[in-house]
Amino acid sequence: MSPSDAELITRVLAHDDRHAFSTLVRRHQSAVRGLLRRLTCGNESQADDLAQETFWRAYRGLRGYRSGARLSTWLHRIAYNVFLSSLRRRGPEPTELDEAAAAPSGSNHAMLRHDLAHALVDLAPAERAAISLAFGRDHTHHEVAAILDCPLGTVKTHIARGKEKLRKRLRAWESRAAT
Amino acid sequence: MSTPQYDDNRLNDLLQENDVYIEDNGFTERVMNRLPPPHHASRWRRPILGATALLACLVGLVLLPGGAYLTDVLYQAASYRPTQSPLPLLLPLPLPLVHLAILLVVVGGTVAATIQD
Repeated sequence: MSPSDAELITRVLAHDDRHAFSTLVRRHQSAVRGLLRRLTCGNESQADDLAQETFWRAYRGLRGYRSGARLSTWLHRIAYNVFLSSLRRRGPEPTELDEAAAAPSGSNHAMLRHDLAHALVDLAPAERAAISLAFGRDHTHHEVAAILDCPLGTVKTHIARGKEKLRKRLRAWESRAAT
Repeated sequence: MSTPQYDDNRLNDLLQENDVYIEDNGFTERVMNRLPPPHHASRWRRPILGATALLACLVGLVLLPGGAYLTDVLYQAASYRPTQSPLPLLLPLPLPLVHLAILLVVVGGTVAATIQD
C-alpha cells in the first residue's frame, strides 16, 4: 500500500526525504499541470514552467501546510497564485489557441472538445479557474473558494457566468456551422 | 464546427471529460533537479557544538562574576563540616542576581544553540 500524502509530508519535513517529495510530485503533477494548462489556454510549455515553480514553492513552504485541507487543494492554490503572478509579469495572455496544435481529429466528439477548448480561452482567468477546478478536479465549491481566495458566492457566480459564456460561444459556432 | 446541443448536462459532461491524465514524462525529475541540494549535517556537528557549549560554560564559570559566585558556593560546600550549622550552606553568600543572570544567559544560549541544530 502506498503511503498517504500526510505520511510523505512528515518524512519530507523530518528528514528532508527527497524520495518522499518526488512521490508527492509524481502523484499530483497531472492535476497541477492540467489546471495550469487550462489557465494558460493550452500553452503546455508555460504551464509546465509554472507547475515546476508551484512544486518548488510547495517544497519551500511545506511547513506552512495545514493538514486540515487536502494537499491537492493547497497545491492548486499555490498553482493559481503562481499563474496570477506570471500574468502580472507577462501581461495579458494570448486570446487564440494554436490552431495547428489544437486541431481536432475529425470526429464529432473531437470537434466538440476543440470548440470547448477555444471557448474556454474567452473566459476571464478567475472564471476559467473556477470552472476547471469545479469540473473534473473533484473539488467542492468550498475548496474552489479556498483555492481562489474568494467567497463561496463569488465562486458560484464565476461558474455560472463562465458556463453561460461557454454556452453562448458554442451556440454561436453551432449556428455559424449550420449556415 | 460541431453541432450538438449545448444544454447544461452536455456542457457539464464535456467539462468533466476535459480533465485527462497527463503523463509524467520526466516532469518530476525536472522538479527534483531544481530543488536546493539536500542538507547533510555532518555527524561531527553535534559533538563539536556540544563540546563548544561545554567549553563556553567552563569559560563563563571561570571568567564571569556569576561563575565566581558558584565556585565560592561549591568551595564552601566542599569545606563543610557536619558539626557546623547548615545555615551557611543554604545561604552561603549574598546572592549576586545580576551575575547569576549573566551566567545563566551564557549557559542557556550555548545549550539552546546545540539543541536547535
